[in-house]
Amino acid sequence: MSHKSAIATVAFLVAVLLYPLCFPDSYHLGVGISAGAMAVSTVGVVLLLGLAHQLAIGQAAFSMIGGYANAILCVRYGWDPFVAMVAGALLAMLLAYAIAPPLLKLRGFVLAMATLALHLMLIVVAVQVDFTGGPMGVTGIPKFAVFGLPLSDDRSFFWFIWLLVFVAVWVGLRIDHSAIGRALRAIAASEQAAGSVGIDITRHKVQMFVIGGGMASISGSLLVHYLRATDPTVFGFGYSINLITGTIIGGLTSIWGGALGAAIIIFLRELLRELELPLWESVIMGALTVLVLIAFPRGIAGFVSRIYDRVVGGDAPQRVVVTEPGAVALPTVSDPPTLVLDGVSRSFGSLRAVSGVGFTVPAGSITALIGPNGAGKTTLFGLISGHLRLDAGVVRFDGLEIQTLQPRDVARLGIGRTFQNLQLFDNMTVLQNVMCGHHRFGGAGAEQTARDALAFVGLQGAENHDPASLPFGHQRLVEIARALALRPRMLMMDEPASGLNDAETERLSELIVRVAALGVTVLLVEHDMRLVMGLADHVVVMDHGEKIAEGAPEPVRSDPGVIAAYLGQEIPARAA
Amino acid sequence: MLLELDCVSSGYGRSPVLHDVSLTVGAGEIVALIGANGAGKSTLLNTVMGLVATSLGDIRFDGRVITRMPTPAIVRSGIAQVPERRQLFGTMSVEENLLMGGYASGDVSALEEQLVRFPIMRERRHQLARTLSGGEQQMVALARAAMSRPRLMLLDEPSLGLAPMIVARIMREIAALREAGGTVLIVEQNAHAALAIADRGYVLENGRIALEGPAEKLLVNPAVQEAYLGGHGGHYAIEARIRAKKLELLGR
Repeated sequence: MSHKSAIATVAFLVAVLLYPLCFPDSYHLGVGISAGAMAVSTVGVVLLLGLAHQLAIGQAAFSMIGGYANAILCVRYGWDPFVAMVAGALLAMLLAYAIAPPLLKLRGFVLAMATLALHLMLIVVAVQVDFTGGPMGVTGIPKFAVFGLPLSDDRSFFWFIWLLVFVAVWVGLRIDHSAIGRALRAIAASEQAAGSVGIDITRHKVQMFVIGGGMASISGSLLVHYLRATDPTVFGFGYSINLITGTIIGGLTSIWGGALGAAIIIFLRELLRELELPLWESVIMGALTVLVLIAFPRGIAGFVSRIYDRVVGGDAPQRVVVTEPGAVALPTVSDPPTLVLDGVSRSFGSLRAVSGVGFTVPAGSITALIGPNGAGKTTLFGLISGHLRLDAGVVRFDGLEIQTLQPRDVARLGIGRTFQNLQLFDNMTVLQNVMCGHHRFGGAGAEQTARDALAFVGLQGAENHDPASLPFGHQRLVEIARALALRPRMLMMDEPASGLNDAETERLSELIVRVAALGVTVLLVEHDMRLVMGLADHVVVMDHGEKIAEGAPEPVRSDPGVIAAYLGQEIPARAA
Repeated sequence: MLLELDCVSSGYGRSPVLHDVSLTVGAGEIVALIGANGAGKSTLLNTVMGLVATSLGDIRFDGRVITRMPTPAIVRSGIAQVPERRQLFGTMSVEENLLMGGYASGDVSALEEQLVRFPIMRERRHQLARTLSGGEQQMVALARAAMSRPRLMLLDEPSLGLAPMIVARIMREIAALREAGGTVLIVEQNAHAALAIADRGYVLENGRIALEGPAEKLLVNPAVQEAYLGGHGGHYAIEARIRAKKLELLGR
């Protein structure tokens, strides 16, 4: 556990233990109970909205399911409240699981509107259906009890609720600090790159939606037992908005921050209520929210964390040094794979980007794919790595047809790739970026693999840096290290030398040779002919979506068709 | 001098990137700025455009101090930038991209000239910019900047990610700008290509000007050759060294 987590845990426990002793009156306990009920559901918001950037904001729909399930089961069927709470959570999770796959295909504002629409539907149903008590709702809900043992006084209910908050935070922190937490951040930064390291994007989104739904449902159950009644207005849009706003104020990317934010927003509301300015309450609330968001873009938790770093000094950023590649031995590939393309075609509208291309990347070779801009090289890369679907043809990796696989499954077969426009995860450190490459092997050993990969590419001292703060050439190395952390059997590199100067290009070449020396089959697209002709065992030339030549570097270089279509005259002599 | 930087320091936040940089570009010149990744080349262009704050020194354009002018005013005074990686409006057509180039000046009369200069653009006029190849996109980016009939063009890495033949084509287009009376400050990783068309050059190292001089002198300067032109033996010697390394490590 890090220092920050330890401090947060202690502060949390002290506050939760002392609060009912300092404010024993039922009003203050009630405020604390409402805050706790909301805090339970913020963890799901942080995971899905804060980490994975999925704008699923209708969480209150699941709170409503929990609340109503409890009301009905306890009042009409005499269930034990704790059992009803668990049942409500299971019901919400089941519903979340059923609707998640189609719903989470939506992105951005469309997803936000869809989740709000779901919430609206439930409100309408609750109003219209007799079973839920219609507009009057359900009254006479008993006080909370665990297996018949009633939590008769508010103080024990307070502690019980905040115990649940602690459990939810603990679950959230475990997820945040695991490979899944990294995967969620990766999804937020670049779904394309996340797929390329074997992350199952849909699965993780659904998992978080289901976990978040369960937590929201528990939060709803707790609330109705405190209110002793429920009706359709309890879980209105205001509830959703308070939840999201609270989480943002607390810190959208921090599990602790979410819980803190819920507490802040509930207490703030009560404080304003005590001022007895009913007309101004919402206005002041809104203005304060906007001010906090402008002053602390990463929420209160982000602000506190920054103050802590400043006071304690944090770790001074290390100097980044680039050393010779290959400083650490990586595991070798004993049986290098062969890649065979046969009749591969893909059109975009009327544009035939790739048409009937077939060639073999021999096992253990360095093969270069060259051709003019727009020849279809990057499209072909996308077709191999599963980021694009082909219209016709076959792609065989070690004899296995892979053209119908998703990027994550291609990655799991051991095909790593880098991108033409760098696709680093800008919301994590360099080390975490590279650790994402290890995703297909799970969480254990990720850090050691990542450190080895960084040492192999020759990037030292960059581990805790933000990738965007590094010079471009170093960012390239980070991306290559991430692909190597996948322990690839084949590595595909899209214009690795683009934007590098001559010294860096030469270093990169040595790195590629060292990767090939591990037994990794290398396929690269590149325009720097010095690198292509110096490195490649086999060169394939494309133009207008078709293969126009193939062979060893020298014959290809002197091929008249290749000269006409691509190589042309070298840089023009300086006009005198 | 059309553009003068006089002992300029600039950067982001509290950490300066450029230190005490002095540089001039005369009317009708092509001036190349070369240097390693992270040396501050793009920062220098962004400083001229007012996108990065200048902490010390002055920038003059045509004798007028533009140091703390807002970017739109700098554009209207006659400087156009072609940003790194082209930055076209991908979901707009080629023609719409060009028209946006005349937005600040409110004058789009240069459209026809650009379509004549780049016949490919007349052909692709209504095609979405993001569907063009890299070389075509670079030409659109050049033409878009030329729409405001700037007196000075700042080019940021125009050769990035382009095929060798296209690099040569783009460099010829840039040389043609000068023949038409234009003035260019070009930042390039590909020092070989940039110095081949430039009149003068500057070498930027760690945010400071390390060397300056006529382009043909820089091309034969041993220090420049070592650092930016492929080291011993020049641009093409790299290939032989790569092949030797491969033979050493892979035995083939």
